[in-house]
Amino acid sequence: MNIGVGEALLISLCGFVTVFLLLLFLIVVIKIVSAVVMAIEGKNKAAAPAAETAAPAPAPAKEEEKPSKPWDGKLQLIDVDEETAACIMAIISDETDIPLDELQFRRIQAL
Amino acid sequence: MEFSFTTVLGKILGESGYAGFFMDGGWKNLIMILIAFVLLYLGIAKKFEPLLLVTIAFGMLLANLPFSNMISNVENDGLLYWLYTGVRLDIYPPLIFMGVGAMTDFGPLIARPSSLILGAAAQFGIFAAFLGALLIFKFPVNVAAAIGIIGGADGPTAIMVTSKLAPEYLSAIAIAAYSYMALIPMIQPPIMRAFTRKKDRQIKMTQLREVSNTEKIIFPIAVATVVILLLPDTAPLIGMLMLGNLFHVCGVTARLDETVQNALMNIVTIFLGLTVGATAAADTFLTAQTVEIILMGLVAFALSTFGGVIFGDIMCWVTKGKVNPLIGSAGVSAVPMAARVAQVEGQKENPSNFLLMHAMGPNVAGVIGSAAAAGFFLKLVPMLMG
Repeated sequence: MNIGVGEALLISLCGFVTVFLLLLFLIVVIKIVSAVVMAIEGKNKAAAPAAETAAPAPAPAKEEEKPSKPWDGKLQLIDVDEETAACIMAIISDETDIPLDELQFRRIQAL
Repeated sequence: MEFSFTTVLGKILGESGYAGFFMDGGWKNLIMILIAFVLLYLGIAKKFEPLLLVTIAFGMLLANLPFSNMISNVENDGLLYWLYTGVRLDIYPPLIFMGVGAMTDFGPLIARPSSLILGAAAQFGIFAAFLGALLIFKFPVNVAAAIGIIGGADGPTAIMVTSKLAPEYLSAIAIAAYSYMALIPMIQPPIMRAFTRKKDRQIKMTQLREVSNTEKIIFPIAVATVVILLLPDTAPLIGMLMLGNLFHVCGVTARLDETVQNALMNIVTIFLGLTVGATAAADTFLTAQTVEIILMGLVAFALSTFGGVIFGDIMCWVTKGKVNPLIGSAGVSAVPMAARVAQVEGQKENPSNFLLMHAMGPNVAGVIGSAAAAGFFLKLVPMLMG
């Protein structure tokens, strides 16, 4: 089919504008998604320190659990044998997906 | 039956491919074989898009060896016929897009969404080349659309549009698209320097914000939904691009991500390259129209770069010098080659400048932009042709 100059120009312009409008619309979508995600994640982050600051409140009741001096890197076992302690550490590592060398165990105590 | 050594030898030579060169039109096969050798040289020695250029060139070589029947195999029911089904039914380009999606980090685009403007601007060459092919070279509208798409600097998109709209020009357009993509470091810099000011090219851009994983996961889902709803014809390309990216970022499909990026991508690249190369028959390839297509492809590429750079200048002016206009050139979608060119040019002007991550935004936006342009043509051309 034959297309005249005017029609050809119109098609090109229409195509270019379509691409532009689509990508402008995507800018709006991305900005909205980013704003919502950042707002939610910001709230969660704000809530986390609040929880952390609230946590020490009951601490005085368990005064004895608080290390009185800087941790010396040794694991304290109370009424627990080494084999059970190793099992507990392996299970915690597995459940939390944190490698054992990144976990710090200070004390394991039988309740 | 009489048997003589000379008769047998004569018969073998007479039916060999060597004799084919002396038959009617055999010289054209010889020229095509030489072109295949040149493409193999460019792919292997110069490392120009080697994964595709080497495979395309070898397919071209096989197809043009007289009596090899590789071309008839494409048209009948041999190995290449079945492999070519993937091109004819538009299976390979979307699968390549899935691999591209899995290998692409959309983080820079999410961090600076305005990059999408540069990705859109760099599609200017597509529509300008479409006009040129239509009005100057008098190509039919379907062929003009396929030629224009070369300006998107996106091989799979060019192949998909051409196989749907003008399959007879598939080899010429695919070879032009991939050759120019390989030549980006030579085509773009003169245009980038000609349309930007030295002091603007020296601009150092501020570091992009960190993008959360949640944003990265929502991005492919949102883009696929928004774009495909508007232009349903882009579904195979955008859908697979975003699915590949979702495999990459969602964190629970590592095996699929690894397969898509490597095994699947490599297999499809072999099938696509070989079959596209094998369609380059001498009779259809050695024509004046192929020369015109290659010429218009270069114009499309240059104009796409021009469009991106000009909008880079505009963004530089609007933001009062916060955007380096060189990143506009990366709006053509050759990922990550175009972004690397912006980085190299930026460092030439200011050695402490690192534009790569800033240029990746327009670069990946260009992929979405060229797929959108393809969707526009795939919708419009059948309507125009009735």
